[in-house]
Amino acid sequence: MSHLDDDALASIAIGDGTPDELEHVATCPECAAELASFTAMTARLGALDSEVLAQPPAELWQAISSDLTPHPDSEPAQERAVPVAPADDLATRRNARRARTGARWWTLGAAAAAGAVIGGVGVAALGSGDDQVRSVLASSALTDLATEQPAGEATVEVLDDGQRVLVVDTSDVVQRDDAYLEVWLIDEQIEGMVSLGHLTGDHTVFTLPDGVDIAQFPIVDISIEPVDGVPTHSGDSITRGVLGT
Amino acid sequence: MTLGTSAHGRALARAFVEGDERALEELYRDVSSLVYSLAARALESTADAEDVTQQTFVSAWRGRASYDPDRGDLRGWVVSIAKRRIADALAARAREARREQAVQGIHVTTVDEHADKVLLACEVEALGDPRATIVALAYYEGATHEQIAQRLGMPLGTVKSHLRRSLIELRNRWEVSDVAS
Repeated sequence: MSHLDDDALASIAIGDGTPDELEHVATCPECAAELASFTAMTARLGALDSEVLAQPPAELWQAISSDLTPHPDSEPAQERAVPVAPADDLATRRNARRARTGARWWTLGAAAAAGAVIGGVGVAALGSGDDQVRSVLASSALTDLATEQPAGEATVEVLDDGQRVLVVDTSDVVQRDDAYLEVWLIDEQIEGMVSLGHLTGDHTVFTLPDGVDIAQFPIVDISIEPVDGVPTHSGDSITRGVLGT
Repeated sequence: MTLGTSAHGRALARAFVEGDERALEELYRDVSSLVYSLAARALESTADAEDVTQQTFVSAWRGRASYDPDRGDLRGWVVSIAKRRIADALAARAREARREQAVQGIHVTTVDEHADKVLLACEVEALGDPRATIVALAYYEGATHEQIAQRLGMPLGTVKSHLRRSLIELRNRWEVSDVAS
């Protein structure tokens, strides 16, 4: 008997399989695996009820649409940001990585600093009041240095308890087995830098130490750090953005 | 739910990125139930769910330049913003409760669990009638195929055929969205 098509598999999943089909699926691992994807779906459906989907109140759209007109001093960040942070070329970065000298920072970051695309700045209140108001101090589009494609967003926000955080949202960074990703704030001269910690997922929140001035360290940098015990920047930056001040 | 990879979905995404407010309105009609339901389930508060829904659409609008239509569908992007806002709201609560670490760990899982349910319920809705109704009767309410046929005044064979087609479509869409996420 040839393999079962989707219709036959769906038949079995709704309890209508013929004896022939049931016999085949019992002996054919390929079809059994296909069937499992159908029965997994019926199990998921069985866990739902009609209360799962709810509608927001009708007036919510009015609240949102009246929130869209930007105030002059809280212009949306991305409207002014051109999401192309200049990329240093790969070869330069590879060489820089080999060299691992202080001077590499000039080659690495000169372009970023010189042609710095300033992300939007200003205090944009998010939220509608209550205790969830947060302020965005600065933001920047992130750019994949190898492809010059947009790679997410970095935002400096003030939480309601006054703590400043850097929120890094990046979906296209590949986590590697032999290295980890580290997030830095770097100054425009590419001399000083502050490590904020390890990037652990596509949404990572880093607490900013109180003394760190984002005007002084405006470059958000994500680097690949080999697990070699060397605490300094590897020179292998993959993603960057520049926060405005 | 017509977003996604359809030509219409792509056109909508382009209009959205270009700053067409009508595109936002259509996006809202399409996805607000999903976002609101996710938030209401995770936060167990309709007031907080309304706040999160508002924040999500305002953030999406202000951040529209960072959305790349070639990289995934608009709905998924909005849902990812919603999940962050929900996580933020949970974290804010946790901070208030001064037990951030413990609570955050628990809630991160919860958001995703809710997300799967709400997303699937949306996919069922997107089947359109009569399939959405048939699937709901069969799986949400546990009605037999015969009971469904009787209630909808539909031949038994037609009910079964709709169920099979629905399962195939749901499974295919689910696999696509799993890959995309």
